[in-house]
Amino acid sequence: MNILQTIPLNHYIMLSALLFSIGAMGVLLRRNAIILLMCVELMLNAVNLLFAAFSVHHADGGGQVMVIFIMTVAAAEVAVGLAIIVMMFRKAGTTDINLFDTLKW
Amino acid sequence: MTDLILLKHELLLTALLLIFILMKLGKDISNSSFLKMSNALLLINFIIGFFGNQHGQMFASMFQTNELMALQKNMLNGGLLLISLSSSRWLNNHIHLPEFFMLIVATLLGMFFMISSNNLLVFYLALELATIPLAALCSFDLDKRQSSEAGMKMIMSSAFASGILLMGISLVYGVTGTLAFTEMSSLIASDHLTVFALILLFAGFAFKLSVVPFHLWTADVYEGSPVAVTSYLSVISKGAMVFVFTSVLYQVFKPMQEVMYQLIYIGAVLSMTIGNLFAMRQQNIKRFLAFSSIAQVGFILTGISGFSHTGAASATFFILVYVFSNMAAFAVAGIVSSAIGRETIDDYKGFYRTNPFLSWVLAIALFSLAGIPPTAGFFGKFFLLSAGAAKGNYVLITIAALNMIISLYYYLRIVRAMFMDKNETPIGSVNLSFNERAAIIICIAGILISGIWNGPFHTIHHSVTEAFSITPF
Amino acid sequence: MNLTLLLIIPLLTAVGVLFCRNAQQVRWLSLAGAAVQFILVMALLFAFYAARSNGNTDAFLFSERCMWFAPLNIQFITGADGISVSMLLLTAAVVLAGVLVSWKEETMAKEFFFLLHLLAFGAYGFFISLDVFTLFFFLEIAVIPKYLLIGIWGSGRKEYSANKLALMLMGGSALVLIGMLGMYYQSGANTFDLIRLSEVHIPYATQLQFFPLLFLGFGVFTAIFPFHTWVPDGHSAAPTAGSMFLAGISMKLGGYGCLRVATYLMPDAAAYYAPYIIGLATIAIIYGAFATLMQTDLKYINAYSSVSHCGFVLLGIGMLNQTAITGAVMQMVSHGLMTALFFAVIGMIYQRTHTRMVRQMGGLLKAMPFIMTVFFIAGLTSLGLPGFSGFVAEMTVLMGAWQNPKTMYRIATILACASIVVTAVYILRATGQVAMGPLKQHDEPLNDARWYEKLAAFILIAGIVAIGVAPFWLNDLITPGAKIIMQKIVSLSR
Repeated sequence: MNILQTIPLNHYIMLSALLFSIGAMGVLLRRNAIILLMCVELMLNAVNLLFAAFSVHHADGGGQVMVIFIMTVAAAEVAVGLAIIVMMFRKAGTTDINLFDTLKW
Repeated sequence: MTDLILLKHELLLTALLLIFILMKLGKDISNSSFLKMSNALLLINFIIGFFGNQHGQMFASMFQTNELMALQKNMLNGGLLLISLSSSRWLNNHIHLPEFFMLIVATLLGMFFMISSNNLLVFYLALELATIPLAALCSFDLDKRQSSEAGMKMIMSSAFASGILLMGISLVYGVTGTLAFTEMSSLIASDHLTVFALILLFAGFAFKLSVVPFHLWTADVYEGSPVAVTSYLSVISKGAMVFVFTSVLYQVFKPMQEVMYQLIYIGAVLSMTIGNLFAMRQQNIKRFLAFSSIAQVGFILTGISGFSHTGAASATFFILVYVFSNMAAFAVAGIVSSAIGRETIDDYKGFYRTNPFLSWVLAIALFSLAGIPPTAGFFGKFFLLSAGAAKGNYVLITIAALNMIISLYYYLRIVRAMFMDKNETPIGSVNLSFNERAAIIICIAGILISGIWNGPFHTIHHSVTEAFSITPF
Repeated sequence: MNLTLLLIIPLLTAVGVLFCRNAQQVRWLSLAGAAVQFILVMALLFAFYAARSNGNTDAFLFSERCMWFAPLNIQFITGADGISVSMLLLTAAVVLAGVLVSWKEETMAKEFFFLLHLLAFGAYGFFISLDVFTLFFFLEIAVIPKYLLIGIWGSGRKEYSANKLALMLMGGSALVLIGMLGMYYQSGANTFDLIRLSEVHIPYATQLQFFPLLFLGFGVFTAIFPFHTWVPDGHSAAPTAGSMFLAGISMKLGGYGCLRVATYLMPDAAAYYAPYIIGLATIAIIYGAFATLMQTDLKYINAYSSVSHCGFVLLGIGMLNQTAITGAVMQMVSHGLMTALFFAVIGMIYQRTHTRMVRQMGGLLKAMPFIMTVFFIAGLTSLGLPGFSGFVAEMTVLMGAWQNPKTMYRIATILACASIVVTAVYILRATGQVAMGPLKQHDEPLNDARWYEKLAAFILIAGIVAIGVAPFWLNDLITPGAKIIMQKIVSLSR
């Protein structure tokens, strides 16, 4: 038996919930655009962990396929996100989203 | 291979995408001829969409389609064509015209797959395909800082939203052990974890639909983006989400209707009220339309809350009406913005003196949004409220009815500015090109006809009934 | 007789106006359209009499129905009883007079007449539809043209008044919307068909819940007391034809709706809420009369007196007996004709003197005898002089009201009677100041009425006198309709 499977499912859920919350709080509290993207990444990876755990728990491959796709999509998201941040940096000279205020939130 | 006809809408869009790429790679084509060709292609795509629609499933039931979905996709196709026609002035002057069409067709492809998805994996991928290019589109006014800012806010908030949505999906997966909608609906029971998962899923949806309290990105993104993209976001993207909402959540989460009802109830009341109250004090016309569209979502949710065939049919019908009405409003705003460069409501003072035709168009569109007969908006709103009232919750209906008065107040503000107020320097007379004229006339005809003539509603209601009897839920 | 013609003609006229090339064509086309409508309604009146004398005792004649939105069971049903025919007569007369009065409207004539005909379209549709959904549809159609008419062609604080009017009327129709949806689902009939709904017995609790919404909703249109504030502002800011339509037709939509939808379909609740209705109506009558005393602007005088006169309509409905309801409908017709005449003549005076302030006028009788004579007639009708329609209608309402022996109803009736004295005070004061005395100086030489103004006045006066001198034809027309409503009230409310 794999060592990972001896850990009860609840622990995985707790951990990923924790990671997800850290990520979500980061998105809401941090002001640097790049850190924001990293926090979103953290949220997605928390979900990935959960998917993998559930996949093993249910002995169903679907979850792991999902993980692969989430990683791919996240990469695409970050690519577009970074491109826009670069564009923004050129125009505004900063990546602090508090200063992106020509449109009021 | 005969199965491929089920994929017709998606295949057509993929072909369009490839053609656009080839056209870009090939010889330099002038913008105007590219625009002509792309409009012709979109028209062909729109027309073919009506023929040979069947129902069935593909790819191990990950993909499903039926007449209702075909109808919804046709509506979105038509909407895209209208956007392309009505914003031809802005497109004509843009240096990256082919990319605009590639990106916008890619997002539409995502929405089609989203509507047809029968599996959470496909749903998620389609959702991202529909969202990520949109962020690039939002920042498409390359030399404007506001536009990049809009793109940035779009990608950040949509990434955050899809994170929340994914958490919901993973919890649902954890509860049921499957990603397929068909199996899921029978396995779902209303325990705490599922309720939590449902709330997260709903939050994800609410973000994309800009339901209050998840609406904060909407106004900024709408204001900063080019008008063509704003209208795409507010009409097509929102419409697709509503379609998915009705067909997927209705069926998959049927056992949890009570929880769903509570969520939709809260969302509807908040969206209508907050959207309306904020719309009252806006100055920028795009921002104004953004808040009004938040309020409209509240009305749509009211109809969906009825959980009936009529509810689904009225929501779908309302999107059809909404395509025409909002598109007409955005067409005028876009034409004025790209021809004159003025976007605030005060600029529209005395608009009737210089542009009587456009004033009437905008007025009729706004009346339709406000739900004044004989425009189609009246019928749309009435059906939504009537579907909502079937639940017997007259508090919700009363709030909706009160909100209709508030919304009339701010729609009349623009009408008043155009027709009654005097202005020293009104917006100059705008000459309409053939494309713009065509788009506007189609919209107005749609607004005036699609309500009074019962054909569209009957067709939609019929296909909703058909679809809900075919799908094996 | 096909009632749909009454919808097609105004619509065709409205659309046709848009294609006219100059103001001259617009005028003549509008006049032709209005005249055809008038002739049609006259034909309808005689067809109605003929059918009745042939022994046709159906509640609604000329009824036609077709399915509109099958999934929701929404039908398009038309039909007319005596009450609707009398309202249609009023509408046709006021439309014709309104078109004639605005003969010289030059600024944006096309749009002006288009909106007038759209308004007429809404009113006709409202009075002939026998399906609550269609009724509601036409009720709302009539709101926006009013807004635009006041806001674009009005005078004074026109934007404010237009906004107030549109929002309050939409508020009223929002209440109607809730009420009708409630009726649709809670009655168990799942239909908007008025005839079908009148056959089922709507549960008492449902009636109590939704009657106030429907009654207040329609009541806003007919200036029920706390929601009357749009009337003075709206009427005074509107252009002449706009005021005529507003007071002559639009306020009658509300009264008709109160009667036809609220009271007819929910008689139990009507009986339950009758004291409140009568209370509000009495307040409106008294308050309207005394508020008029304070006014110095001719249009405000007539607007506030409209509040008072429309109070009689609600009073008649609230009394819930046949005489009073007949009187209420007669009062609607009479007030419609009278107030349209009043506004028309005020418009004529304003055009010549460029003021509506009573104090700035005087001795006009010498300068323009015809207009002043019309002004007298309108005034005397308003204060209820026998021989004119106002007397007949108010008398019938009060006679009906007196049949009710409860003390509170007696007091209400006496108060309503007393208001007529106040009416006499303000009408006589205003006419005296305007017409008598030395002629005040005005910028332009004053000329008397033109042919179109004379024609408009003549049409309205003919109606007023026809009712005033020989009220029986109208009475016979209305009574069977009132009887049907009464039968429901008597049979259902124990």
